[in-house]
Amino acid sequence: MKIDQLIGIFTESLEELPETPLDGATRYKDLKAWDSLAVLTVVDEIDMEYGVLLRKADFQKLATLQDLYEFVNARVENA
Amino acid sequence: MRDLYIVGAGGFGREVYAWLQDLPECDVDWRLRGFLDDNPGALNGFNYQSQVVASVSDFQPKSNDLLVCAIAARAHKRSICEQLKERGGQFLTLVHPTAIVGPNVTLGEGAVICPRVSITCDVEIGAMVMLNLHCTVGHDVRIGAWSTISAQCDLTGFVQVGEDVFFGSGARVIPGKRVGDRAVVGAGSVVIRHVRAGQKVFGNPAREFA
Repeated sequence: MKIDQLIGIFTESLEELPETPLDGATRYKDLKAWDSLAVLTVVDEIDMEYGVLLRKADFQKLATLQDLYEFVNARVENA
Repeated sequence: MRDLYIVGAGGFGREVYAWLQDLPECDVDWRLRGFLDDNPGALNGFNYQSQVVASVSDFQPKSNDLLVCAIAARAHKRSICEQLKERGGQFLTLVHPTAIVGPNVTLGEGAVICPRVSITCDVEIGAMVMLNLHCTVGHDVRIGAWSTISAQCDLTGFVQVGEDVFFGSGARVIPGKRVGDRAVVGAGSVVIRHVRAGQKVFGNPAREFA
């Protein structure tokens, strides 16, 4: 996965986008539109596209889109 | 009084036959003359006063005739009804008296709204759309022409459905999502993101399904 693809997933999944464009430094938990539906949609998209099922604990220890990107890629490589 | 024919004598045709008897216009504005179906034996073994009176291909609608679409299968509905329209066929818009239809709702010609359907307000329903039993349609919903929405579906506020879409029974769409033309939403699905034109989705949350 490329980080642009993860940003694409977030862009599609959020009901409302922030004024500053999403990038690797974005702390996704601070986004106004980061609600339970956004979580469900992002988790489902990543599972569907990359076969990686994220758990609640994963989200809790990660902070930025770059962290999430690295986490998913590490899981893809280990699969 | 006009002559009414039910297009399709399959399972949905027999249901539409039943709902037509409940309309106050029945035997006042029109009289039911029978079914049109390419299978002349479609009603064999069933107990109906009306019979299959002609095949679709042989039927030549007269100016006094009215038709009602009772084909749910998307593979045949549009092609069969377009044939009849090209020959001058006029379609009845059927709204069952138990349906709830709120303010500013527009219904396209030939739409079939079955019992207990609830349509709230500011809704646009295209021509030849079928809404089967107990569907609920929220505010500002748009449904494109020829789409078939099976029983118990829930289209919530601002949902947009394209043309020729098929919804299996009991599917629901969360507010504001769009379902593109010719898409198929499987029974019981919960649509939480937009569905592209031609895409088939299934499940909760609904995912693309080959």
